[in-house]
Amino acid sequence: MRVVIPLFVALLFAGGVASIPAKASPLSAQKTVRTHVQLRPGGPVKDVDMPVHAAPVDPPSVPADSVVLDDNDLVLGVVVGGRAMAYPVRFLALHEIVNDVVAGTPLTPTW
Amino acid sequence: MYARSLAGRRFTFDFGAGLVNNNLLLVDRQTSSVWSQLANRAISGAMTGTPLRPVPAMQTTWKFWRARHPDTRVMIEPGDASGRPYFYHHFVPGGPRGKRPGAHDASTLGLGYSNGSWAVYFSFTELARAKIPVRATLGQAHIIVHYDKKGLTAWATDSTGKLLATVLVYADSWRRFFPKTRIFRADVARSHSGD
Repeated sequence: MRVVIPLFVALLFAGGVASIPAKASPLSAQKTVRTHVQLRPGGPVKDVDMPVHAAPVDPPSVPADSVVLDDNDLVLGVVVGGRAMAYPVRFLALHEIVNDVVAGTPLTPTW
Repeated sequence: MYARSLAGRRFTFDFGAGLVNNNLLLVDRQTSSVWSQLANRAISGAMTGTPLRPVPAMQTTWKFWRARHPDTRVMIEPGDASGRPYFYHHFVPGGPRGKRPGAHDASTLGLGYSNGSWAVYFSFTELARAKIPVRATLGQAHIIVHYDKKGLTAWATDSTGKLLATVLVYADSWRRFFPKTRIFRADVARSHSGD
C-alpha cells in the first residue's frame, strides 16, 4: 500500500483516453489496458485506459553473505517449501512488483 | 505477497501506472485481466471474479530476517552484483521523515489482518504497550499477534502457529481498504470497531 502519485491521479481524472508521453526509462509503459477504477472511497467508478508497466520476471538472488544491505534495511521475507527468500524493499520499491519462483512456487511480492 | 498460480494456471503480473485510492492494480500478461489489491480479485478481463491468493510473508529489518533465516537467499537488482542500485530509497526506521518524497517512517506502521469476515488493525504503537503476544478472537477465529520493535515487524499466527497472510501498513491506508476495521487498543479488554 503506498502513497498516491498525484501526476498519475490527475491524468486519470482527465477522462477519455489519457495521453501519456513515451519516456525512455525502465518503467516506460508498454501497453494500456481498459479498466474501471473507483477514484475515491464511495465515489464514482470510471472507465480508464491504464498504462501498464512491465515488472521483472525471475530476478537474480544471492546468498545472505553476498548481499550488501544495512541492518535496518526493510525486507519482505517468505518461507516456502523450506526455502527462505528476502526481497529488499529498496529493490521492490523500484518495481512495485516482481515475478519470482521460490522452491517451485510462483510468487509476486508487492510493495 | 501473492501466489501466481491461480485457477489452474501460472500468471505473470505487471502493474498499472499510478495508484488510485492507494490501490495497486495488477495486469496479467496471459489475459490482460486487471486484478485489484483492494478487491482482492480480478475486476476486468477474462479472469474477472477470480480471487487473488495472498501468501503469508513478513516485512522486517534485514537483521531480523537474517537472524531467523541464516540460510536465506536475497533478491538483488538485476545487473548490480554489489547490491547497491542506482536509485535508492532510504527508509529511516523510527527517525524523522526523510525529505525525499515517499520516504517512510517504519515505526508508525501497524499490522492489518482480514479474513473475509473480519478486519483488524494492530498499530505498532499499541503493540508496544501491550503484553506480547496478543491473543485476539475474531468471531470463531483466534489469532496470535507478535511484535518486535527492533525488527520493525509484527506478524500473526493461527492457534497452530502457522503464519497468517497480513500486511504492514499505515492506519489510514488500512482504513481505506477496510472502513469497518476493528482497531486494537492495548488498554481495553476488547478491541472496538470503527473510529
